[in-house]
Amino acid sequence: MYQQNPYAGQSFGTQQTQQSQGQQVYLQEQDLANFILSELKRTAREYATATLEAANPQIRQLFQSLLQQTLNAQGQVFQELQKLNGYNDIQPAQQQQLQQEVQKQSQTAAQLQSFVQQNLSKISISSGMMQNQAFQQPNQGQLPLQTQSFIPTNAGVQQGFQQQQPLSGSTYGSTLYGQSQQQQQQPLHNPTSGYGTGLQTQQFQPSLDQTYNTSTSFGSDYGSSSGSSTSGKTGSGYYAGSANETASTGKAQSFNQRQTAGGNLTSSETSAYSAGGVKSQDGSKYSF
Amino acid sequence: MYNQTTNQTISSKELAYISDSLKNEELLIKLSVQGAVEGQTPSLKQTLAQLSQERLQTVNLLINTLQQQSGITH
Repeated sequence: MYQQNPYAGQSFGTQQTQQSQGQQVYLQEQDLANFILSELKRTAREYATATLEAANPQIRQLFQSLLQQTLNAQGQVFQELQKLNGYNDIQPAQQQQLQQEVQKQSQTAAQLQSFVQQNLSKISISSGMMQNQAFQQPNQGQLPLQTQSFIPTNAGVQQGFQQQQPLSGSTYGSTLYGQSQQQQQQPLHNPTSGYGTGLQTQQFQPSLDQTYNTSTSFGSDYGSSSGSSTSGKTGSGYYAGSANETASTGKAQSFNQRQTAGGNLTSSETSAYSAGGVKSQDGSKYSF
Repeated sequence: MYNQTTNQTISSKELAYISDSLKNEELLIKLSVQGAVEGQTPSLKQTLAQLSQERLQTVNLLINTLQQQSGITH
């Protein structure tokens, strides 16, 4: 069925004219490889949809692993095609545009961080310790980079808001790490580790990191401002649907939805995710 | 894990996704076998041969899941 390539007999752009008749097979091979590549991409999309839609955890896990496998296979085929000069025309981004974007997004990220810190402190004061505990869990579990800049706010809040003004990050970071985090993380971690948190850290954290790394020089600038790590990583792990464009945000969102809908397992867990809902509403105002 | 019966049964939607996925995999396997057989570039041939093997395992995985689910639901 596919041997009869409709393009083979016709004049097919520059490649056909450049090559002699005996090398038509090469064109067919490339066509076939392109076809396989697009099939892999379509399959990956369908697996992603299936993962998002699946209610049965076992089925979801299956689709999720098949999605990862398909993505890997697509990457391999793409690299092969790249070797065959199929994708040589990838244009690098303009350096000027890149720098403008870095500046703009760094400002945005700084604003976002102050927004998060202001509002977190309000929430913790008005509605008590439960949510405060909840906010710390993803910090330790998923965002090791962020602890320096983010935790001190919580520490200040926990020990009274007055102390937040003079605090320096390192001292409060360490006291919080020592005291409260180890106590509070225990009850929160257990109910989520089986399904939610465990999956997220294993499966999606690497892909998120990859996304940041692939942006090369942009990534290094971006990562160095503490605010940016707040927006990016917090967005995926916690504030679903805020200022984050990566695919993993979508995942995180669906996780949060699932958790709120599915499990009133423990009170602390429920508070964790309801708090997440509040923040995602706030965050949407700041989605850029 | 098996306490929640609602989560254990496979929905018709999930069944449809698995069925669609099997069709996708079938096409992918046939295409990649053809590419592996007819191809000229050795590395591409090898990649496609490997791909077809992997996808065959995927088909088995999907069918196994279907069998498991049918065992649970009936």
